[in-house]
Amino acid sequence: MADALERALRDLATAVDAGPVPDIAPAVLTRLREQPAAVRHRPWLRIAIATLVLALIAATVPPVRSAVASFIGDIPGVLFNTSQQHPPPVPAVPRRTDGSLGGALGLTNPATLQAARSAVSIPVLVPESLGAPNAVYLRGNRAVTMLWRARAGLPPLPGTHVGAMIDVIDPAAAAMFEKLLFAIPSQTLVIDGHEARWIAAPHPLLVLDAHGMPMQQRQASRTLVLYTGRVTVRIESSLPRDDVVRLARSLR
Amino acid sequence: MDDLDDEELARRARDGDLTAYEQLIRRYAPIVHRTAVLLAGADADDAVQEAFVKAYYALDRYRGDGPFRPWLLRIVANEARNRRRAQRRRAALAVRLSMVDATASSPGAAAPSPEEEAITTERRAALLTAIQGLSERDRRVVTCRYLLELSEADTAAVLAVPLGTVKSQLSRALRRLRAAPTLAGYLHEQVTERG
Repeated sequence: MADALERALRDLATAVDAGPVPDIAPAVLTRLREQPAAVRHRPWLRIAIATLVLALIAATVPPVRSAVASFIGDIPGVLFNTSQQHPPPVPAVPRRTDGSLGGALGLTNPATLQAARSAVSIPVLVPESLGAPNAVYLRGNRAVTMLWRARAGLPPLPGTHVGAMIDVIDPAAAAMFEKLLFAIPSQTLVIDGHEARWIAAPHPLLVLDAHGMPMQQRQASRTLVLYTGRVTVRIESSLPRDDVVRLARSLR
Repeated sequence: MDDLDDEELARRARDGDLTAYEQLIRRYAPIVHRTAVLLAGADADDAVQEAFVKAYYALDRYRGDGPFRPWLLRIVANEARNRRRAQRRRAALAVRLSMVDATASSPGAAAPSPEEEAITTERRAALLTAIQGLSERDRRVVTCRYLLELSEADTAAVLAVPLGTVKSQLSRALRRLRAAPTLAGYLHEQVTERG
């Protein structure tokens, strides 16, 4: 049974007058019509078809995505795309249920931390506060991905047993990841003098091939991306911002 | 086009049918306007327009696998939050409190006396002031659940938090409201005699 406060709130709802509803439609439609029809109507489909046709004619087609996407920030290795257009459909990351920690995230090429360090030309930073990773994976020679199992104080990423995922990315190589951030707020932070970007909400993540074209996608959890000047680090977890910043500051 | 449901209109709009989108705008303008006024205050008109534009471009991601209304209101709530963060000081809510509506009371009851009307008006103003004094998080959840009359599930979808979080935030916000000094004396249980 509602108490006096809840009754008063429901009564207040009937009395609150937000004022006359303006005629919104004309202004909105005018703005939408200002965009050329090609941009409104599934631009990716048209570009993809055109690309396919040209490829069949054996012409060289450069990647066209940079012409229509809208990128913010300047952290090498990771693209932050805030444009409104939807990129071409790419397959979801293939999840495996083989008992491996990285299976649910579609990671292949497991390695030891030592082997990974030899395979890349960048320093593979590890956060002291987490200790040694439980699993390590190579992504060609562009990045090393480290996973920590979920435990007390480190809740799992949805659908996995992974508590934290850290990608250490070669800033000199082609971008590895593209984050789709339309209508998703992100913050620029400076951590110990290094530029970082914090995305507090789940968002789509595209894994890019060596030509910058998306090959796989999955839904990423909250992420901090940091550029140290020598390497880019992407930290994905379910932790709140301040905990992730503390973690980042313990990278060695 | 009046009898097409939201999901069908959204599907047509996604394929480029602006007439279908216009229908959605007209259908949702009142609740979007009310949401923007209650969550964004003075920047409501901008927030409404921006929300409808952004919603159009986000239609690709609306797959009809949930009701359209909370999906749209979440975009409005995001717009409102971005604008309030840009404000240097918290602007007052730009709402009016309408006069007591005698017909809203139970059927057959006598019309409220002038004293009762005055008390009701004062209580409404005090409650609105108390809500504005809440933290941003508490204010948003109370606004969605009570002033916009959204269900708990829709409130969770619009504010992009889990349902459990909505429940706990609401109970905490109501506890704070009950203790608000401006509401002292207005929240005792009332027993009135009628007839």
